[in-house]
Amino acid sequence: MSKELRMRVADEVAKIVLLEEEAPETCKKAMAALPLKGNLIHAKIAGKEFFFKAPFFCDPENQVQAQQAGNIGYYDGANSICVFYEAEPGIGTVNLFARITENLSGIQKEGEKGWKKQGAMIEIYE
Amino acid sequence: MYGLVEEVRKKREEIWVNEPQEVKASFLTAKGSGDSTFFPCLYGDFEARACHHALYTLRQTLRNGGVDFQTIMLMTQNSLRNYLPYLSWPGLHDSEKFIKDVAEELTTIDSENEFIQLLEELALYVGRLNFWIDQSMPWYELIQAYEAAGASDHK
Repeated sequence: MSKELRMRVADEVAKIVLLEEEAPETCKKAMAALPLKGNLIHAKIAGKEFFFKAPFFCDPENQVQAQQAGNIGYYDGANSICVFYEAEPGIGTVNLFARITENLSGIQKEGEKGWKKQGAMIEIYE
Repeated sequence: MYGLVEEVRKKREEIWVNEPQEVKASFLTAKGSGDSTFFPCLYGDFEARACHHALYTLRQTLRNGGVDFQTIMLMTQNSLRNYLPYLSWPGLHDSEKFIKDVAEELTTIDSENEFIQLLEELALYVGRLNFWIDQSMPWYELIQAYEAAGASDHK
């Protein structure tokens, strides 16, 4: 059974599932750092993506460039947790370690808002 | 044993969830040419990001091997000192003092593993500082103004 967590972005709460088999180290580090808290920064070049800072380093695993809507990855170069709210061809690789399984539409709404005004509170928690 | 690393971690944790006062103050008081806060804040944003990348690269180089950590230590010390003016100009004086103090104390570390931990905590600190500044920049309005000025036609 895959581990399920919640992700809150402003007032929207989504259910996410960890990809523990594909990205065991990233999942382990994310779990150890729960609750992960930060503020929404919108991607400036990569399209429909927002991210926030992760308080850890993690080596590459399950590297993915082309993203599906709802993918959640870890980008080591900036210690960021990246949330792709639409499909994107990608401009770099991330450790794909989780996926949104419920309320993607709510997260998409917050992503669009974040393009105009950054800083919404984000939290990933059990 | 891990005195300096713990000190940096503590400082990093202080700014992780709560916006540092110096960032709020910077957007209100930093003055550049034309009496505007724009460029000091922009420099603060870009240079904090560049400092993160420099520290990330130093950490990666040390982990990859082929270079002794005394050399990386000296490079780190010089890199941190070189970034100090870019923290000063936007008025990020708390971070400026903190980074200056850390640069002076680097030589107290005598193991490679501990130094990697220090580089990680420092990178996380300046990276988080960068994100606090980035989220406060009115990017959307700046993009609208940039496009309206026909900047994309200036090739």
